[in-house]
Amino acid sequence: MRELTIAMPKGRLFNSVVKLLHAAGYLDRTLEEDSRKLILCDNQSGLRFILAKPTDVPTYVEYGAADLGVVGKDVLREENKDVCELLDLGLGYCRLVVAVKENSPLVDVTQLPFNSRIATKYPRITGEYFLSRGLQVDLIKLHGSIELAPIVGLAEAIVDITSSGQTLRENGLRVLAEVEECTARLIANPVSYKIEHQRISELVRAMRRVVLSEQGGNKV
Amino acid sequence: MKNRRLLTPKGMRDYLPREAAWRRLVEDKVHRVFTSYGYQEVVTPTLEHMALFAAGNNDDEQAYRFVDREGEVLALRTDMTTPIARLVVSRLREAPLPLRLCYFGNLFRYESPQAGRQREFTQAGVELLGVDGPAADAEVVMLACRALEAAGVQDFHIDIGHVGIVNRLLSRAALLKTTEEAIKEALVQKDLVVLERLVQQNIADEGLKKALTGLSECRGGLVVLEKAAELLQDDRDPALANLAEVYRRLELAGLERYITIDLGLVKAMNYYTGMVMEGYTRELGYDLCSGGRYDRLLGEFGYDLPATGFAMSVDRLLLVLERQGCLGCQQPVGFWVRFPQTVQSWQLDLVEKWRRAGAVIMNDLGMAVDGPTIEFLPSGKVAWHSGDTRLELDPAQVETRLFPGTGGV
Repeated sequence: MRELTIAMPKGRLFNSVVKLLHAAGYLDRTLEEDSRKLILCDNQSGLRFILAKPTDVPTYVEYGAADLGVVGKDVLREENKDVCELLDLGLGYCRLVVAVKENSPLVDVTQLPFNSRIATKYPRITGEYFLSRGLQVDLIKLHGSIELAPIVGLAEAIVDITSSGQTLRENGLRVLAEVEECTARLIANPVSYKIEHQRISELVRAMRRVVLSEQGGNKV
Repeated sequence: MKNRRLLTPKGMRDYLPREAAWRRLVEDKVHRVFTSYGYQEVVTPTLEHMALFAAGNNDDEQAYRFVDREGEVLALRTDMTTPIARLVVSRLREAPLPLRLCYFGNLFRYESPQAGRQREFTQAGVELLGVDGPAADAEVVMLACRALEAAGVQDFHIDIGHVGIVNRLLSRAALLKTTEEAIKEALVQKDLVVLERLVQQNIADEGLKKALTGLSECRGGLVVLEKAAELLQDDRDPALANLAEVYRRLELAGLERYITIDLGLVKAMNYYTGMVMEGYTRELGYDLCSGGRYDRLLGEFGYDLPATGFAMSVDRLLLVLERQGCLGCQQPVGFWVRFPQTVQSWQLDLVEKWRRAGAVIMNDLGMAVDGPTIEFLPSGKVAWHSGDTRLELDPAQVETRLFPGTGGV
């Protein structure tokens, strides 16, 4: 049988997804994330994992180089690729927020000065967010250390992900508004979803059971 | 950039001789299938009035637009179905029905080039006009199968579905227009996370919830239609009956191995009104051909005529064939010919005769060339040389000795 290829983001999300697959009965051993290995195979379940940079996961899936992928909703929206979104895994929760300097007098994004500069890794989402509020801003695309921008005067505000808000606080920033909540999603190539429909559906059902029971557990 | 003039514009590409030969070969095979079913080729202008595409419900944001010298807004065509509808309404109203037309044309859409999407691309397709009903729908799907077979595609799949099913479920839910659009969009994108959220938030009826979220699971053979009848709580739904009849006809034609009924198949284009189809292969992560019934489009132009059709992307077809290793190129081997300084008319005639018989012969134009060469000698004989081999022949012998496959004139 042909292997199902799953593109996974390197980093913390990887281990959570492996645990989820294990609980769903798909992996009977834990796959070690070895930073030098880019492909991991599990013969028993017929799954093959490729480890990619998170922003590249949707690309692997869109071209069909991977049948499935796991990626944060933030990246998925930003990359805007033609893929099916099958399941909210509930993992890797974070918020995409607009943040400003702690001592800023602003209480609402509409108070941002005309043509404010906004630094972000997410120019598409940020552009849509401000456009839908009728606000005109200058987007500055950065690739990392976004928190630096307001401190050194590169931008009036940033749009970035935060989970506990600690990094923001440490850099003298605070949340001004929430853009959206993000969790990891299971995505599929549209053609793989058709051709391997049965196997993918079974996998989704098994994973959904685990996700639902864990969510139920958290609420108690 | 200084060398920009040497680059092709973004999303546009050249076809080099080898690729262009493949493309012509594949197009010829597809064309032969279309014409064998009686589809006659039409050619429409590359530029049309922008208003045409706006009327055709197309996403006009993707059109390359121009203002001509008279101030008219023109657009590079973004699809072929709309121009053909215009052509039929304006020039073929008197033509006997059913009307069968086919086309091969390049289209332009201003999109960010990504997987399988170029800004200029070629489509081959058919339109079957003037007939309603499953026989016509089945013919179009059958033609897609035959065309892909003829082109040499291995192991392709075609899904058939029907817009009537989703539309019926949605109208039963009696939703706000915007919610309905959002649910449709989620179905088109196969965004099951958003779909489930929207259905949970906006629909109270449990049966309807289950039906809408369960649609993408309804894939397979005829059995799927029984399951769908349950979801719809109606075993005489006209859409299901239509699909059953289409499937039965494709089965009779021995094509069921290619066909999957997929009730979750929902298309982005708004003009579809009945059966829809989509073809794909494992080698390509996106669809290869696509089509369906569009009974209202011609009516919008003032000639109420049911219609159905499909289009396939020639560029994607070539990509699949290449990945499957099926792009066998039957390019005939070429020969060089070297004429003496004082070339004589009988020599030219002879070479022309060989060409007409199917040989590929290139004048070396006095340049040093590599490869099999035929040389006219002052003695009146002909020398054939290729590598270290050299042969002297009588001109009359050349045809049988060197081009045995051509079968004489």
